[in-house]
Amino acid sequence: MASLNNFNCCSEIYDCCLWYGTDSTNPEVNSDLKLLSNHTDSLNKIFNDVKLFINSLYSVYYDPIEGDIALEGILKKNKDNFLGTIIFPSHFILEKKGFEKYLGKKIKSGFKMLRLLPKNHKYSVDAWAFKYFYEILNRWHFPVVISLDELDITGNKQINWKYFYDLAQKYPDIPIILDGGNAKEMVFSGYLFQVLQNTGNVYLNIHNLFAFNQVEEIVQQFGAGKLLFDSNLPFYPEEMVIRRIGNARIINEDRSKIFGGNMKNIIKRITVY
Amino acid sequence: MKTKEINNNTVIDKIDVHVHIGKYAGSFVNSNYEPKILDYFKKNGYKKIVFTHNSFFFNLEEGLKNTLEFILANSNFAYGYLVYNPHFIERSLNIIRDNFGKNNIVGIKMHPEDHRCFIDDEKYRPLWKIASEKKIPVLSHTWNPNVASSFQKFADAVLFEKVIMEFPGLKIILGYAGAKDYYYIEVVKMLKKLKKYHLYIDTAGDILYRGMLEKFVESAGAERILFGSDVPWMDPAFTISYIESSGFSLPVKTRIFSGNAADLFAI
Repeated sequence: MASLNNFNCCSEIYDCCLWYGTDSTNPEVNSDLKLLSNHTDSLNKIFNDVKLFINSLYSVYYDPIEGDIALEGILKKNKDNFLGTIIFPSHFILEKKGFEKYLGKKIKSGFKMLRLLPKNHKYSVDAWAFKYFYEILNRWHFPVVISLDELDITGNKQINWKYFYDLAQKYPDIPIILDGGNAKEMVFSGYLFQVLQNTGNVYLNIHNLFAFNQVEEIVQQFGAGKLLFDSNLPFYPEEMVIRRIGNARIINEDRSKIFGGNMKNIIKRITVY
Repeated sequence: MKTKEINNNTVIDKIDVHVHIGKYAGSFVNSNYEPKILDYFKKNGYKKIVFTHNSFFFNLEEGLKNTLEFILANSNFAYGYLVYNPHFIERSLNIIRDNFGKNNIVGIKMHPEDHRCFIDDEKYRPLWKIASEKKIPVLSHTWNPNVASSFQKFADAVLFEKVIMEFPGLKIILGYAGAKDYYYIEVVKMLKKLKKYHLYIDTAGDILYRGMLEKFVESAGAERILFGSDVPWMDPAFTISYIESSGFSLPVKTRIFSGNAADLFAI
């Protein structure tokens, strides 16, 4: 294994997915402020610009409104390094009108991404059902992240891959971030590569692009512009994914895009109306 | 100017006990991965691999042929598993009797999920007998039985408690540590309880949970952990980074990466 000296290429890191709080289904998974601070400190030793996109586990397992208010407080105190990911509150399905205002308010508080949890929170994200929200997100160029776990309804690796085609083609200004979550299905490159080939605005979080040579092959076939670094802390050890990209068999310019450049560009394009 | 290196890693010799060779389902695009993976092995400290040929899961004779061919082409490096299919007991046993201990064949692989047969099913009993008699290490696919994928119920790792109590001489490797979605906590408990038996786990697959290895070492001992990647479904770069980023000393990492496998398989 090569030593991690490839970081000379990279001055910024945007960790696009990590979590704060306790996983209600498994108390072994816990991420508190101390862990997030330690992670930030370690990254600050290596990179000049460190940004962490934090998701609240409380928002996932209890109440997205309450969880994201609590997260807001944490973002405020760590403005240099912390950004938030909004967990979509499903009551907006019934009361659509308040969503735009809610989104604007959240952006001002440091949230730069929206996570959809159709399976966990029991709503449909198909284009016909979610149209109202996609139109706003498209106008605002606001990134949406969705995990493959959330689209595997049967649990038997029957992913609704078509969702990504439909969404990406209909709403080309929404950066759609496909996150592996805890699903192994990201390794099924046969499907994944079709999505990349047929869409221009789909990006992949890299924490579980596990298949052999998969990161390298995506870079080779589609360019490094499709990949976003994420650690998935606290589920995985924080250093593991950094090492994977640090040691990836790619050129430093591409490494730099994956670590930070791509996400930096995505959030630059967010336009609030 | 910031220090841009996390650390310099010593390259530790590796024996990967969970490698797949051969083509698999069409959903997987990297069908031509073999030349690349051999190159990767060479450059990353791999000294030996113990592999299963994917064709073995579906066709015993074809699997044997492909296994031996791959070994022949990589004779100082590749060691093979035979596959026991619980639905074709005699054919499986004949292949084991004729081939174990020859031509770098060093173990048996079983796949309760693929073969839809519970680990404690009677159909596995002939395997336990021959593996005990001949002291053959058995690698089993094991998984969390509670995941959404219903076929994984066949591969519940903790079913091995019953098996090992009846066949205490068995040497069993629990592939993936039976650990998907934190089921490893149950496996840790079992290994702690059955410490005197030859139960091992490997690090293969997408089970790279924070703190998992440390819990296994604490409860079962480092000598029970084998480096396995599940390549090509996993890039070994992930698994290697996972073990390297643990807080273990160099001797412990060396045990996990290669020492335990060398002892178990006598290779």
